[in-house]
This record gives sequence, structure tokens and C-alpha cells, in this order.
Amino acid sequence: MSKDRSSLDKVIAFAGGTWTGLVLLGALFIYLGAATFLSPPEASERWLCRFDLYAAWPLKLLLGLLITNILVATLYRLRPGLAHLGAWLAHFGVVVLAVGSAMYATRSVSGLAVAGRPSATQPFAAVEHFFIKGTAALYVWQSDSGQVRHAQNPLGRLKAGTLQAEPLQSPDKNVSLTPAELMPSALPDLEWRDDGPAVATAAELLVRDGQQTQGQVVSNAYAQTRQAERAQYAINVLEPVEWSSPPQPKAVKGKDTLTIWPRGEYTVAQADGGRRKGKYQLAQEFALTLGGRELKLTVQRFMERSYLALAPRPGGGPLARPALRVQVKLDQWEGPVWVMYQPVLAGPEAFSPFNTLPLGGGRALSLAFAPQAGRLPVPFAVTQVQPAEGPSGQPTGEVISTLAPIGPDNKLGAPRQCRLNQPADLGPLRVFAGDVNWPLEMYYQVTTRPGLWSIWAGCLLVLVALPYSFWLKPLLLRREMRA
Amino acid sequence: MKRFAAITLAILLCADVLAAGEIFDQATLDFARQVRLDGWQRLPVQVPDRIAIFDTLARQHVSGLYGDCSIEGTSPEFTFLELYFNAGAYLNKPLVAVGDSRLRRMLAATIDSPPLRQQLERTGRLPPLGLIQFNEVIFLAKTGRAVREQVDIQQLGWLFQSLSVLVSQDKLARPVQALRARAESFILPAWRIVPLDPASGGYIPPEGLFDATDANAQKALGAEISKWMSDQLGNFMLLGKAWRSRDAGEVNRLLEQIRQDFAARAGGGALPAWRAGMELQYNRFKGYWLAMALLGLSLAGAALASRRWAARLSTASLVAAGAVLAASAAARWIISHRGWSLPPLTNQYETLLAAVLFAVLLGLALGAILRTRVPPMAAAAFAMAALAVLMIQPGPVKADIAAPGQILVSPVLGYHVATLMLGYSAIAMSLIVSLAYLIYTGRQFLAKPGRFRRLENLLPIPPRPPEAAMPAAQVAEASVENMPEAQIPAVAQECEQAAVAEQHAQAPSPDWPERLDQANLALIRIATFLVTVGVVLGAYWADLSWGRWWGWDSKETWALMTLLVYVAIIHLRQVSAPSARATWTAALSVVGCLAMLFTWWGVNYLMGGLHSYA
Repeated sequence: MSKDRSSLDKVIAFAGGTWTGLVLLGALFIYLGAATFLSPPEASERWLCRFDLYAAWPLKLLLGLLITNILVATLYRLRPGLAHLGAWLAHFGVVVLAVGSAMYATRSVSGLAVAGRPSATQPFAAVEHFFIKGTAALYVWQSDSGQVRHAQNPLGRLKAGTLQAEPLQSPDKNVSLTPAELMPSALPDLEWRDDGPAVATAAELLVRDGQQTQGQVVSNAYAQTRQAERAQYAINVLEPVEWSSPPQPKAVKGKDTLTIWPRGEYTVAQADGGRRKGKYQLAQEFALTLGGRELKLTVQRFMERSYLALAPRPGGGPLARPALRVQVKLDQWEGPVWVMYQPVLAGPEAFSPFNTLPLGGGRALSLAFAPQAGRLPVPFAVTQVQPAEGPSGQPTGEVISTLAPIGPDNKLGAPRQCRLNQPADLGPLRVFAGDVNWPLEMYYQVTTRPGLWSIWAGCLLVLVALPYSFWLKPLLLRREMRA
Repeated sequence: MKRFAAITLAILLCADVLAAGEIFDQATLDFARQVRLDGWQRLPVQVPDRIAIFDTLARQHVSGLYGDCSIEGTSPEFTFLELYFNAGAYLNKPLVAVGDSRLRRMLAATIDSPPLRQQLERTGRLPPLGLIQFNEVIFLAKTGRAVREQVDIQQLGWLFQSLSVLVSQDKLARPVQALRARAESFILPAWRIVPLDPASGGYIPPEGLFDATDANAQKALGAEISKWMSDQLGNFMLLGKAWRSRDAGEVNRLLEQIRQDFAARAGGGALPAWRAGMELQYNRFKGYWLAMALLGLSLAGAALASRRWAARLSTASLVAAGAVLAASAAARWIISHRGWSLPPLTNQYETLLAAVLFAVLLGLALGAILRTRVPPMAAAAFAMAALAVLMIQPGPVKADIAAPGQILVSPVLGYHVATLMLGYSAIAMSLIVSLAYLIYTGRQFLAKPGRFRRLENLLPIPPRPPEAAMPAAQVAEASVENMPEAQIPAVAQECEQAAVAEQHAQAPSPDWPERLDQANLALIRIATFLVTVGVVLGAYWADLSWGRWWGWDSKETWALMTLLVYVAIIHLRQVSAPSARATWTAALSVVGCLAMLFTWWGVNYLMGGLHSYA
């Protein structure tokens, strides 16, 4: 029995030991330092498959062990009294702070709400939904003769590589969609195929520039392809094939722009405003001056059904983005579609560009990433937006919104103002002023903050404990010793 | 001696004569001598968040573009006007400083034109042409500030092509954008000599100056002020014409006329004379050289502190340096016109200035409380190093009094940053004390005694007893063996008395390492408390502004890591052996200070994030 007690004492002494705590602090220091280097700001580019070091189990384990160490040390080793009052306050402050943080991290909901209006003279639409931060969903829209239906497919954290996931919800029962592969870092490329829905048209060229010969794919849909990156001169002198209506080649400022037409003609819109026309035949070389260079070009073929394909690029780099390959089954045809995560707006909460598949007969299917949409606990309306002024009366570029809670059971009272550094509280919801796409869209960050009182209480305990331990306690103890 | 003085005088006189260089030709420099711009220095102008003086505008613009507020010895005001009215002549001159060294290297590697590349490598600058859009060049031509012959299309193409390639690289996108913005300011600088609107007492929108002939703008501004502004635009056009034709007489007449018109219009309301005078003096004399000299004097005085007058001189110099720095910071605060709730703590320059001032104050206070010269010496050493950084202004550290981002306009910011800066200054002082401790104690391990003799002479170290000399009690004990037995009790008593006397003699004055450790602990406690308060205030502000109290932003994480080091020091002092306690403290203080420096500066340069401003 005494041996057991001794072992327990040893365990307690170890678990609550100062050296144990110091080792944990050191480990935490190293872990956090590494995390800041391994989680650069561009982490959003590794969306869906990123390993968030700040939410990973090793950090949770370290923090858990540290809190255990503090608790054991406080309860078993520090006798209550004047001498240890500071340590008690500081240690319990840290524990209360940790409890609050855990509540906040697990129960808080935050995201982005958008208030939009069709024109500057019309009122903003009521804000009832928001995009939940840190989540991802694949949205599928089906348009059919003016009718639009959509389905939202929440995606958890996916493992990079080939996926064996369940089929996605599709608004059209004749179209089945299955996530097939997740590429953390992919680069757009153009390929072609002879079947399935056509996405874009493109031409494949062979360009001879002096002694150098290169293959080029130019398209009216995807200007920034890997070819553009490889051949520097190509992005300066070769522009995407134009199929626009009316068929007029558009000059690009400061560049000679080549346009290949399917009927065996090419046009060059010169930088100085002039235009030239010429004829070509498939697979036959013709000479052309572009961007001050004498080039020999051969139109190898047209790609009537080109589509955006993606190639993995493990090292990342410019233009590379995460992408999901979705296997589409449509009537008799089955093939891949890539959806790239390339936020349109700043921040990870924005939509990716749509990848639209024309299905024929006026139907189309569009796929895009966005965070999951959730219903706001308190819907609100933006009733007024006015520009803010600085201390000298000058316009600051900031705006002040007036927000009014809405709904039949609204008990939240009068409208309130919201601006930078001055959020508006709507019941459990706190609304912060965000970006402004004036005058049509206003963005608000909305959040609930459970456990925040515990966080502030913990901070306060620590802030009281430190001056007591550092300056007041030595004074009190000295006075006591003198007495 | 006389000859030496004559040569020196001749050199100084020659320095005053402007010599033609890479940017300005001799005719321009002759013209610069004839133009009278003294009255324009205090002219009120509108910058984004306040009314400033023209001198400030010119300095900020020229240094923003060129990297220095003076080009080839001309005044900032002349340079500003010359680049504005005669822009076409400088389209091909190396004017735009490429501040980012990585971008400079990449540009040098990608620019096809050898002359352009050599120019970049030699001067670190590029010509505006090619960095600006073609339509902006056309705008210059339309306003008469450039003629077509001055535009080298090929050069425009080379630079544009090179930048188009570089901007696609994620890490270079921001520097390229900054470079383009800098070059664009060449076309249309923040040129807003706009007094207050007498009707409303408020600001006239900056666009008003250029839209004065527009019907809508006239309606918004009022007919009277619109007409006045149209007249002024006419005067400006005449001034530009006279400037380009180098007609110094006409230029001086128009400059004076415009100045008088603006002064009459604005009255004293736009910018009181005392504030204009203060701003002009602040621009010229920030007091850093004086503060630096006083700090040096303080350090020298502390080194000779065995003499009473030297100790007094040291303290007085530090107090004077603190007063100069406080006056400089106060002037900046008043000039910034941001209101009392927003102190000058909104960028790296201002936070560093605050840290220097706080360090001096903290050093003086701790020196008085602990009755030791260690904290004031550490404060003076840190302040000198930090002032050198302020004067050199490396990287993005800029002395401009610029409008902070709207998110920073919060009263909490002042408390958050000020507390952290106080904590950081305590940490920096702790580093100096720790290094002094480690060097002092470390010398015992070095093979060559006397290597640090000079340091020992510099630092006021009390003399140590010679190692060979044996304490009196030990001497007595050693001779007991050869002593007659009868004498032993008396000698034993003598030994005991000697030992007690020796103990008493050593007790009252702790030696130098102990003093260093004592000062270090005091600084560490202050730093731990202040950094904790600063981090908590930052969390409160983040909750108010960004909607989350903690977000694992790089700066937040490193601030927490800094705090962890000091928490570790405090706990380690509880458990380490008394002999090793001070060494551990000093060693970990160095780590803590490195973590603090990374939090403050390293994160901004290497990681970015939400806190990049400070």
C-alpha cells in the first residue's frame, strides 16, 4: 500500500512538476514557431486538404498536458496562503482562459453575410444566410429554361489523392456527380476530347521562333494556361483564339494580337491600331510578324470540344490552385470535370469561378466551391448606409451601416449602427463591418462568441496575479518577516 | 592649421554649389538657384487625413518616389515642382527607387535591355516609363507636361514585359504593385493645395480641384469657390509654362501670387501659423542627432561613474535625451492631427520611436528605484541602437506621417501598442543587461585573462580581492599546525573573529553579477506584465475589430511565444540551483529578446499577416 502511495506521489510529482511544465512550455514554443513557418498566409490555397497545425491533435495534446500540469501543481504543491496567492490566481486564470477558449473554439459560429441590392436606388435585400467560416461545400446549379435549382454538398476535410466518396447531391436526377480526386496543387491545362459537353474551342499551334519550336494551345476560355507560363513570348504576342460574336479580333493594348478563325483565316490586330488578314491551311506553315518577331506558325488542329483539364503540380507556385476532379455521368456519357478553388474575392470565404457544362437543349450545369451556407439566428436588414467622416471632417472611405433585426418574433428592438471597430449586437449575434462593394454589396462578418466571458475572466485573474506576485507579495512578506 | 581650416571651408563652400548629376542637368540646377520657394514651404496642402504644409508633401512625395527627400542637393519643394511641371524630361531618368531587394534582383535578371539593367544595378532605381501605363503617359502629354519625343516606347515595353512576368509570382506581386504605385505617383502626385471651404467649414473633395470646370462639381462646391479654383488652375497652367521655359522671374512672380491667393483664401483656419512652423521645424530637425549625442554622453558618464560629477552628468544627459525624444514624439502627435485618442503608434517608425522613449523613461525610473546604474546604461545603449535604425529607415520603416488604415482608428490601439512597446523596451534593456552578465561571467572560462580588461575598465566593476590572497581566518588556520599548544585557544578565537568580520565586510554590497541579475529580474518582471497586458488588450481589440479574440495570426502567435519564454524564466528561477539561476535567466532573456524582435520585425518582413503595419 505504501509502495502504491509512493508511486502515486511520484506520478503526481512528475505530472505537476515545474520541470515537466518547463519542458511542455519548451515543446509548445517549438511547435508554435514551426507552425508559423509551416502555415503561411497562403494556406487558403491548400483549401480542403490543408493540415491546420493550429487545430491539430499535437497542439491540443500539448495544451491539455500543460493545463493538467498547472492544475496538479496548483492543487498538490502550492499551499493556500499569502505566499502562493499569486501563483493560485495566475494558474487558475490560465485554466479558466483555457476552458473559455475550448468553449469558443467548439461552439462559436462565424462567417460572412452579404447584403445585396440590384441598383443603388433600391433597398438592400434582407440578410438571412451566411457562409460559415472554415467550411467547404461544392455547389451544383442546374439551369433549365430560366429556372435555376441548386444543391449544396458540404465537404469535410478531404484527403489528397484519389477519392472513393459518396455521390454528390445533384439538382438533376439524370446527372450523377462523384468526387474522384483531390489535388492540393494543380495547374490549368487545355486538352481536347471528341465527346461530351463542349466547354471551349481552341486551336493547337506550332510556333517556330528562330531555332526554337514550341507547341501552343490558345483558347478563348482559358488564357492563363501552363503554356503561357512556359513560353514568355507567347503571352506577349499570342492571344486566345477569338470566337466571340460579332467576330472582330480585339486588340490588346501594346501587343500584336493573333486571332485564328476556323474558316482558314487569321487576323492580326496590331498594337498601333492597324489590322492584317491572312489565309492558312491546316498543318501548313505560314510566316507572321508578331511583337516585332518573325515567327513561323502552323495551325495543327482545332479543338472543338476542348475543356479545362488540370495537372497536379506538387510544388505549388504561380497559377497553381487546389482542385477537385468530379466524375460526371450524363445520359450515355461519362467523363471528368475539374473544379478549381480560385477565390473570386479576397479571403477563403469567396466563391470559386463557376465551371459550367452545357448539357444541350438550353440546359447547363455549373459547379463551384463556396463555404457552407447557414441560416442566421437573427436575420437583419440594412436600412441605411452613409459615409463616415474623420476627425477633421474629411471623408475616410469607411461607411456606417444601420442594421435592423427582422422577423415576426423580433424582440431585439431598435436598429443599430455598425462600422469598423464598432460592431452591432443582435441578440446572440455580433455583426462586424466588412468589405464594401459600393453601392451594390455590403459584407458583414457575423459571429457568436460563447465562452468569451470565461476568456476575459481568465485574463483578468492573470493580470491581477502578476503584479501581486512580482511586486506586492515581496512587500507583504518583508513586512511579515519584520513583524 | 590655418591651411587645414581654409581647405575645409573651401570644401564646405563647394558642397553648396549644386553639381549636375544623373537626374538634373546644369541648366535645371541654375534654375533651382533662382527660384524662390521659401514662402511655399508653409503653404497648407491637403493630404489624405489632414492639412499639412507643402514642405511635408514635397518631402514625402520625393522620398516615396526616389528614396531620398532631396535629389542632387535641390530642395524637396523645387524637386517636387520640377518633377510635376516638367515630368516628360524625367520619364527616362532613374527616378523610381526599387525598394525591395528581391524584386531588384529579379528585375535585373529579367530586363532584356542591357543599359536599363546596368542603370538599375548602379542606382537601384528605374525610369518611370515602363512602370506606368501607356494612357498615363498620354495624360502627361495632354497636360503639356511631356512631349511625344520624350517617350521611349521600346523602354516602356521592356519594363512592362518584365513586370508582367514578375507580378505573376506570388511573392513578388506585392512589391511589384508597390513599385507601380510609386511610379504612378510620379504622374499625379498628391497635389492638393486646397484650403477649407468657407461656406461649410469642411473639406473640399480633392477631386474638386481638377473638376472645377465640371458643372456637377461647380454645383457641389458652390459657384464662388468654383470660380476661384478655376482662376487658380489658370495660374497653375501659367506657372507650368513659365517653369518649363525656365523663366525664373515669371515663376517667382506667379509663385508669390498663388501663395498670397491661397493664404488669403485659407486664412489661419486651414493651418494655424504655429502648427505650420512646428511642422516645418519637425521636418528639418527631428532631434535624433541631439538625442544620440546626449545618450552617448550618458553612456560615457556612466562608464566613469566612480566620479560623482560623471554620474550626475550621465543621469542629466539621459533625462535631456528623454526630453528631446518626448518633444519629438509630442510634435509628431500634434502634427498628425489624429486627435488625442490616437497616439503616434500606427506604424513601425512610430512604434520604434515610442519604444526608445519608453526605454529611457523606464531606465531612469528603475535606476532610481533600484539605486543602480545598470538600467539607465542599458536604456541608453538600446536607445542609441534604435535611434540609428530610425535615422537610417531601412525597408518599410518610413518617417512619413501617413493616415493609418481605418481599422487602426480605435482608442484601444493606443493602449495595446503603447503597453507592448513599454514591454518591448524592457525586454531590449534586459537583453543588454543579460549580455553584460554573460560576458562578465563568461570571461572566467576564457583562456586569456585580460581579454576583457577594457570592458572591465569601462564598466564600473568593484575591485575583486586577488585570488592568491588568502582570507585572514585561513592564514591563521594554516599556521596552527606549527604553533605551541598553549597559544591555540587564543588563535582559534582570533580566527573566529576574523571570519565573522570578513563575512560582515562582504555582506552589505552585492557584487556586480548580482546587481546585473537583480536589474535583469526587475526588467523581466516588468516586461512579462506589460507584454501580458498588451496581448490581452490586443485580444480585446481583435474581438472588437476582427470579430475574433484570437486567430493564430503570425504576430499573435509570436507574441504568445515571447510570453512563454518569460513565463519559463520566472518558473526556472524557482527550481534551478542558486548558482545557475542568474546564468539561466540571462541566457533565456537573450532567447526572449530574439523572440520579441522576431514578433516585432521578423513577422512583418518574413510572414505578413494582419499585423503587418506595426
